[in-house]
Amino acid sequence: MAEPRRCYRSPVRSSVVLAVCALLGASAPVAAECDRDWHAGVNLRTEFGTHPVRIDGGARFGRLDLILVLDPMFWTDGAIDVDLLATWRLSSAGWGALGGWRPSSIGLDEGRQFQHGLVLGFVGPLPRLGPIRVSWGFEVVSILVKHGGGLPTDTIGTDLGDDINLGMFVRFDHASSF
Amino acid sequence: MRRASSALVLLALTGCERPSALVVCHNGNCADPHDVSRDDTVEALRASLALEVDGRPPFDGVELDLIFDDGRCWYAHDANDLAAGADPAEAAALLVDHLRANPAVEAGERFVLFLELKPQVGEPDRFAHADCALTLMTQVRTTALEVGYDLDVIFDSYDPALLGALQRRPDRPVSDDRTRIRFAADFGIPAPVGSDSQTLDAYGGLELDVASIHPSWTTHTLLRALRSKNLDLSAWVFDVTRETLDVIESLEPTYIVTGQARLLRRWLDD
Repeated sequence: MAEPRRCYRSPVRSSVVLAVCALLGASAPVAAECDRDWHAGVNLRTEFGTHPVRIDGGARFGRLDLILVLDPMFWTDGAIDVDLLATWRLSSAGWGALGGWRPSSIGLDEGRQFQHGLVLGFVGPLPRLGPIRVSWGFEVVSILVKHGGGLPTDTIGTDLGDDINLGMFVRFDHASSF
Repeated sequence: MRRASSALVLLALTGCERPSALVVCHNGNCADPHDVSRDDTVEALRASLALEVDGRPPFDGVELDLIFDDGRCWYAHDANDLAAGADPAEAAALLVDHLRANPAVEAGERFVLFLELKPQVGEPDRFAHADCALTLMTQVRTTALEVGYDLDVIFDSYDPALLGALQRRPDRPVSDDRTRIRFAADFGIPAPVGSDSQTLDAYGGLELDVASIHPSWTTHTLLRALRSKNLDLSAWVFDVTRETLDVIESLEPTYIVTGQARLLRRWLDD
């Protein structure tokens, strides 16, 4: 019988990570809490909160998943939507809370305008497709500030549809432990 | 008191008032049944101008496409099918007759003349293309004002150079107290699905008043930039679905350019 994979190879590193886990208030079994993997894949959506196809990648440390989403469709309309996200797993089934920052920018005649959005939401797992991990997410994005492009700076808007948007996305990614 | 409460509950349940938007007959072709192969044809324009809802035209204006090809200006939709096109003067004459038959019923009523200058192929002659649009505008403008309308004339194009050709003329049209001369950038279906749209910064150095968009194909990032530039929105609405109506309520465009003018008019007036 194969020996169960050890979470940590170094006792010192193991202690440190266990301490971090404890500090973070982890309550699930340690083996699950402290799994770590990197992952990369695509982030798809059908509404136009961002471009419909983006590339995401990141690293998961137990309950915490750090994700960077890049926008390869910038060439289609001059706009770029990037996400820097963190998810925090709340259940052993994989449901978690999502938060992060979405800096978008678009070229105007006097430079680029930057739009900074606060992203909040939740994510959950979908059935795997073989080696591909699939997850679904719901997000609320609120634009906190717009600046640049030779236009006046705008702060926190409250117009639903203009400044506050709801969206859903699906992620397909491949993960590998480290 | 109870009745007032009920009315408030009903309002809360049914939503707010419908947005107010000017309905524009897309490509001079908004008669039923809608057949896009008749876009920008004299036959379709004639049939569209005959439409009525409650005794009035269902639209507030008409959009016409102008193509300049091989030294000649056409009222037509497709440069590859100019045989279906016509002299723009024919379209202008139909509009003049329509305006005379349907004068404004109240002061300040607005008629919208949307002129899309299609990007040119081959050796461009943008000055002549602009001439063609200005001639058509002049013919319609005179009558519209005579019969009591205020007028929005919107020159729109996917090609920034064509808008530039209009704006840089010494005799460029200017607004007055009854006519608004407006310039619109077209943001159609984005690449890689569509191929006409330019990026917003391609219109740098031009005066823009309006952005024409496909509501269901426009990213929030672009929309927010258009709002920041205080541009009015003109929404192309081709398929009227629950989703497009939701988007109209959300975006509140100034203009709705549609082939389904009667349906949109009834919905807006409901």
